[in-house]
Amino acid sequence: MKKIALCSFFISLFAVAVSIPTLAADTNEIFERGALTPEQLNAWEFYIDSESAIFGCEYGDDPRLTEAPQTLLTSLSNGDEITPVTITYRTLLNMGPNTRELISQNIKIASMECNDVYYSGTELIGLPVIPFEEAITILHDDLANYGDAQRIRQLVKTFMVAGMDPRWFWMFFIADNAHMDLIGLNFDTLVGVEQALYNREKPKNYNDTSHNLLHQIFAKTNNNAIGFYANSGKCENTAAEPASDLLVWPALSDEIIKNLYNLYKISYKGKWKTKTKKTAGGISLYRESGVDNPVIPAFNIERGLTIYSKECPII
Amino acid sequence: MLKKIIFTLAALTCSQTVMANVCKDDPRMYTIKKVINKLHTGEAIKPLKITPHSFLNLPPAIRAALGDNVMVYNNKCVPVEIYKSTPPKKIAVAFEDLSNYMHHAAIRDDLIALNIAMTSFKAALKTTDEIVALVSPLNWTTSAINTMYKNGFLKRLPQVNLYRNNTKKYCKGEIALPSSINLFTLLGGKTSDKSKTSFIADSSDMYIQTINGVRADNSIAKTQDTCSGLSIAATHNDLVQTGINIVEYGGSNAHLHNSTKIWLNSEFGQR
Repeated sequence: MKKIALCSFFISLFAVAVSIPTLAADTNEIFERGALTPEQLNAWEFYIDSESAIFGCEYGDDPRLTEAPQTLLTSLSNGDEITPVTITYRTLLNMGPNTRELISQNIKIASMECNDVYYSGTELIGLPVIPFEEAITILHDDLANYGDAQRIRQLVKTFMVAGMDPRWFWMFFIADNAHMDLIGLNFDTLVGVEQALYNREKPKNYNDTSHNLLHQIFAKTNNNAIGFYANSGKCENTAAEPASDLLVWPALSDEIIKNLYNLYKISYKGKWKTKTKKTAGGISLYRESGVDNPVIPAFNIERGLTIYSKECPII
Repeated sequence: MLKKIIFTLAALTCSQTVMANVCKDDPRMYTIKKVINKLHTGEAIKPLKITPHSFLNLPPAIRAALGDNVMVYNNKCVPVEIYKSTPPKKIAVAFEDLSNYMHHAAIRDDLIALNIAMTSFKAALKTTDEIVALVSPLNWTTSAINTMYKNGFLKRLPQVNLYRNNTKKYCKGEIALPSSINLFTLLGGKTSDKSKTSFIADSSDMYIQTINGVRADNSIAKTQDTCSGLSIAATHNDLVQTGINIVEYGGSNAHLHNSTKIWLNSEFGQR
């Protein structure tokens, strides 16, 4: 009985298109419904590219879906021998049923760790590793469309969230209620996702701790954890951080960041220098100094807080 | 001279053939929907040749639909027929890969795949150095570990360090986290060499070091104030299971000596 219910869930998950109307073979862009700046979007793209490059592949939708969608769909419809169409899990879920039916004739699901993931027309064969932004959007949209907590608990078992440096996490995903719109997600729906994942009877009150919400969701996904890793395999440290104009929540404090570091056992030293500085646009809360030749272009500022890789002796 | 050139070319061609011998899934996996439709209509198909990764990733419904129309590549990249969804003989797979496939199956709650992994696959041989490096917590997600415990794939061990009385106080009610070495032994993992490894345990710490200087993660054994991810006794037992050549030093761990022969060997030096 349980198997039948589970099977029905997967069939309904894919057979019924998520109700966001899409054009024939539309792909889904990062933070698509948000209001992030081009610099912020570029930074997130850099994260995705660099993380998937570690495993030796590129992550994203097949360029044919945007460059020549009609040609592609015609070829699939004719049963031509073509290279399989690679699509992200989010794009698959958001496709209209007819397009999905066609594309599933010859398909490969993208994964940031380059593991093979196939699609049978009703369910995945394999577990795609996807960026957290994609994961929360999938969960958010599914709850918004179906309002079914049980679906959320099943859906979260169909993917893994890719690992990330803590600085990516706090740059994009520690934000208060007022700034959640910037990443294109509805705060109340996210509270509902959290409620579903933790199997709570009532939604938790996040009025005063809204900045914890996305991490609570992250913690309930199957994820490859947050960590600062040394490229050399030896002790490394860095004080490089994103500039405040790249943060989704500009009022983020180093105390909150330190809590995140403590949680993931990331050693750190120092603190943000909280000297206020008047600028043309208003007041800058933190004194920031530039980093020469930053390893990650978006992390080009130092504020006095240094993190250490796990190879380093305990500070 | 000509012979030499021909021989060199032939050797080069052969080596490239060997190098190119990488197992890859049958390209029909991209069109698996058509394959299943064919089977549903009663049409015969040539068996799909797939890697252990894809074989263990097949969801139950698709596994059932494919039946025995599948062949799995073994560690020599030779496709092996299956009978009633399992290969006739255990297939050796690199431990890290097998652990990863099982991790994914556990996340999906796919008990059929987990059963097949435990009964029809085994961890490939590892050197002593590689085995000692596995003395570390298993890097799986909590939900996957819970699936393993809940369904009896891993034993629920009480979190007890046998030499520290207050461990019971600190770790009351907690369940030991699984370790990589424990999963390796459960998957039949063995050592490929007989180089010596020193094992020193006292009331709270454990020091393991191979003759090549590879050390186990000592931080996991410090159980004074917190619960350790690995107990000394369980780790010792797992190391014995792998067949590595353990050289033990004295101390208060006398009861461990029942399970393995003791060598007192000066080549490792003293603590």
